[in-house]
Amino acid sequence: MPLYEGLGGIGLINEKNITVIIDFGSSYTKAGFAGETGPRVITKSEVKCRETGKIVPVFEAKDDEELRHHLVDFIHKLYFRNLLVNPKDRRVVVVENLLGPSSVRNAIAKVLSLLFVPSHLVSLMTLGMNTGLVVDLGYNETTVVPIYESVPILSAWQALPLGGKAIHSSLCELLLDRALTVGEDGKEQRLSAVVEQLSDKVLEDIKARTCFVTSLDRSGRLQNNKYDRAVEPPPPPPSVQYPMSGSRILTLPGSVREMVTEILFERDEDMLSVPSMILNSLMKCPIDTRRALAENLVLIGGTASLKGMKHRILSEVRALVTSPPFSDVLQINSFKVHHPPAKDNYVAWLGGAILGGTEAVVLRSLPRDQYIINDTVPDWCNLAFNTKDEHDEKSA
Amino acid sequence: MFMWCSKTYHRYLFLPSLPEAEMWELCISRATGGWSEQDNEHYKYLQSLLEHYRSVAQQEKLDRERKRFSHRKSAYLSLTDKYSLPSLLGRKSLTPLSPYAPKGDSSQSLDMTASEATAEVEGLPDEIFTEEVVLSSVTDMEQRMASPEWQPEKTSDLYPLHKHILVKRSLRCRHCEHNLSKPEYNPSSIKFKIQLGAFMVRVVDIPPEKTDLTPSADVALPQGQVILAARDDTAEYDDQDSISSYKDDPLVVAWRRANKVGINLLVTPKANVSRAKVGFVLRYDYTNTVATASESRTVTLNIPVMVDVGTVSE
Repeated sequence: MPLYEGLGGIGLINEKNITVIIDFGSSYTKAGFAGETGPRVITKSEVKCRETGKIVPVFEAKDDEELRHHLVDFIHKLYFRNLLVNPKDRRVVVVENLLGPSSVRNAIAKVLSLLFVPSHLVSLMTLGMNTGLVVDLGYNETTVVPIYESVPILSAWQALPLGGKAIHSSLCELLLDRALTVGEDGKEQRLSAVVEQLSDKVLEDIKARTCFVTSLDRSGRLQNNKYDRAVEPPPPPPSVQYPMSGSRILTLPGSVREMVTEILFERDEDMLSVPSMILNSLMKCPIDTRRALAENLVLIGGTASLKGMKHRILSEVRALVTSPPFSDVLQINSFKVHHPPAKDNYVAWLGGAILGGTEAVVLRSLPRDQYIINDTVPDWCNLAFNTKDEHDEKSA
Repeated sequence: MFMWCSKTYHRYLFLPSLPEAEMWELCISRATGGWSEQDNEHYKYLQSLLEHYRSVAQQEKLDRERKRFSHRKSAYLSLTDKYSLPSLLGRKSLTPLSPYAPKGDSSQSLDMTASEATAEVEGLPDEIFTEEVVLSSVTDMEQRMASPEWQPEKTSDLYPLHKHILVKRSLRCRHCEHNLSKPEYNPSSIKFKIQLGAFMVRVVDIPPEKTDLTPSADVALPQGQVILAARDDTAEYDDQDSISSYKDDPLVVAWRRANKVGINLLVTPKANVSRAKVGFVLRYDYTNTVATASESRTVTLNIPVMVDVGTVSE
């Protein structure tokens, strides 16, 4: 059966086989075409499981084989449902996190013939920069990779499971603890008496529509109130009547709305939080790069688009740098952020699309036949691809 | 022969939340071929970035070519390399001759401005701590992700979406090789209506017991024949009535319009009937304009017609 080209193939550079750019995310996947200003589709990274028939996240699989099945189905869906183009003879750029698992990477390579680009690096391309400290606030985790003169400083990477997922579980916990619901009969009950767990979809909806990241000042007052009841907490924002399934109404307390994201800023047992990750990463960088990096912060990822998030991170970092242990090492008093020309959640995709629109794709991508011979994907952590080539050095 | 035909359109999804005036504006612009698209505010900047990185990649490709070239000829070039100045001059003068030379100076094509970092970011608006949240005015994630480049947060900012049809877009009939389905971007265009409109025909079997074919009235049919011109597809879209050039007996022909003609019949109901039904045979010539001329193109067809004229009044 011949496949007909969708609108995607019309009127752009090499019309026939325009490169497809995919940014696989643990929650949302962005896909579109090279050289365009935004992705064609941002879709949930979910597939129907072949065995159980349930909708499951693509990257949660018990073994490599299952992961491959998920990916085949998911990529098929992307091409034939969303992008509407023929996958044959088409180059693909996959935007990936440098710190992503190799198993996922290998599974993707088995399905597609492609070019992997590091998400943190290409994010800088959307800004026309080659130096910056890129903080990717994703769903599963937050990762920090500093990039200096287009070279990722890998020794200074930071990653913590602080992202959308952490906010969801914090939200669920807070709601089960405090929220009240009104059922059909008009009786008020505690939420925990009605349900045991809220679904991710509901939590995400509540988070996106009602929650925000409160200011540093208010957060401080809330914290103090926790330990010392004498300190007056700031008046909470108004509560929201949220309709749940059926005719049950959930009352979202104002305090929950502003406190769910505190989980990203509360320092854990190892004194780690999102702001401390940024500073730790700076401390691990060579001393002469720190100032340039601190003045070029780039915050990307879906979680960064929560209301007030960037402002809060910036003020937290500024406050934290003056306290030990950072004040002993870092003599930085100026932090600046960039505003990428895109929505936060597809900045990395956009970088991939810019790169995908250039000749670099042809030069650097991994051809299918070569992959079949070698059976490996070049990777920074694989020494076979990462030792200095002496022959290359001489000929240059 | 009846055929099942299906026609593909783009379906347009309208989101119900647009203010009415705006919605009308969109509808009107759609009638003339689509609504105005939203523009990405960063379009120009992104284009300059793309241009820049293309030239960088081009440069890299050139360097590779050159490297391969110089590697092979290194024995000859090493002499000139010793005397750096002439070799520099020589190279410079040669570049325009090289087929790989970039067009224009590479440093000049980089008219891209790097983004400026700012010390301040927009904080929370003060009213977030005091104002009630109206859930129905805030979009959910699905609505936001449906338009990735804008991701509206308020339902008032929602914009109509294009929805692609997901089936094969062209289809030809196996026998006559005519297009049954063909992509066309605007289903409201006249071209679409005339050339690409397809009709769905359903064949229904009426069980004989349900059909009452005994006429209960006599009908006086006009003598001779009524002439109707060949079917003209465009006639339906002409507003003005074409002035008839037929010499019709006004007693027989009631009216003519587009491809239709109305005729007067005299009906006499039989005694003691409540409903008047008349039966007659309609004979006409059908000319097949589609098939190849191997067979006779014109066929005379007889169609039995039953008309329920209505109840008989006293």
